[in-house]
Amino acid sequence: MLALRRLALTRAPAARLPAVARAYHENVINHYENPRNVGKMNKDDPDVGTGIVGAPACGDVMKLQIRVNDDGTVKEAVFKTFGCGSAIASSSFATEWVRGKTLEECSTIKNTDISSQLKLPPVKMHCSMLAEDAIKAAIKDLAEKRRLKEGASQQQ
Amino acid sequence: MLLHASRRAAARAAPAARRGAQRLQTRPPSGPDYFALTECERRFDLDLTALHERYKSFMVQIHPDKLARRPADEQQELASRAATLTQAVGVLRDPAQRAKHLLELHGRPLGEEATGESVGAPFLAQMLDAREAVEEAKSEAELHRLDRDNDALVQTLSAALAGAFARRDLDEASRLTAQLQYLQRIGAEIRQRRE
Repeated sequence: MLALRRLALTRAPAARLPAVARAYHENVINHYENPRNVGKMNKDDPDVGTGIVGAPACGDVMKLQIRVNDDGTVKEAVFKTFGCGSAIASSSFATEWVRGKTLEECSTIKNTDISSQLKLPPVKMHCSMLAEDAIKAAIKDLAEKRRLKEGASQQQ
Repeated sequence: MLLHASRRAAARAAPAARRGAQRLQTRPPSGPDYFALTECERRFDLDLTALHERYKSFMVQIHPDKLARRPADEQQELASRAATLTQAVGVLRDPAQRAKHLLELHGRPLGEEATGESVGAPFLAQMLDAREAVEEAKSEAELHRLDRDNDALVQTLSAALAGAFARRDLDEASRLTAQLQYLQRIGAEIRQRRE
C-alpha cells in the first residue's frame, strides 16, 4: 500500500510534464532541442559581420555572425545565445533564414517573420526582436568594416 | 491585459517608431513605492543595515504570539502589511532590483524592448565572454574567481549608479541599471552552477 502510494507520488509530476511542454509550439521545441548553426567565426575576418545584442529585462545575450560571399549573399551564419528556449530557437531560426539571401534582403527581416514561423507566445515576442536586431547589428558591423577598409585603401 | 499585448505588438511592427517612443516615454509610476513603505530615503545607496534593523523590529512587534489576543481584523491587517514589507525589503536589498524600482518611480521603467543600444556593443561582448567563461568553468575555484570578479564589477557599477541617481542623470542611471541586470544574471548563473 505504502509502496503504491509512493509510486503514485513519484509518477504524478512526470505525468504532468507533457502538458507543460505542449505550451510551446513544436517549431520552437525543434529549434531549441536541435539548434542549427551554433558556433563562432573570427570576428576580425573582413567577410564576417558580428552582431551582439542583449535584453536587459532578463539579462539574455545573443551573438549572431554572418559570412558573406563576393556576390554579397550570406554564405553561412552562426550564433551563440545565452538565454531562454525561445531566444535560442529565434536565433537558430534566424541563422537558417539569412543563408543564401542578399544583405539587402536580410535587412528587411521583421521579428514577426521569426515569431510567426516559431509560433512564439506573446510574452516571448521580445526574443524574436533580439534575433531581428542581432541580424541587423551583424550587417551594420560588416558595412562598418568595409567602410573602414575602403577609407584605408583610398588613403594609400 | 489584452489591450496591452496588442498595443505592444503594434509598436513592434515599426522598429524606428517603437524606439523613438521608448526614449520619450515617461510613464507615471503605477506600482507601490517600496522606499516610502519602508520609510527609506529614495536613493540608490541605501543604508541596508538600518533597513534590516527596522524590518526586524517590526517583525518582532507583530509576532503572532504577541498578537493572539488582538481582534482578528487587526491581525489580518498586520499580516498583510508584513507581507508587503517583506516584498519591499526583498527588492530594496538587491542592487539590480532596487535600481529597476528606482527607475520605475522616476517614470522611466527599463523597457523590455531595448536590445542593447543603451549598454553598448563592447559591454555586451564582455557579458557574452563572461557567460561563456561561466559555462566552461571546470572547477569550484574557477567559479569562485568568476564570482569575485563579477561582484567587483557590481560594486563599481553600484557606486556609479548612486552618483547618477543623486545627480538625477536618468539617462546614465538607465544605462547603468541595464548593465547591472546582466551582471546580476551572471551572478545567478554562477550560483546555479555552484549548487
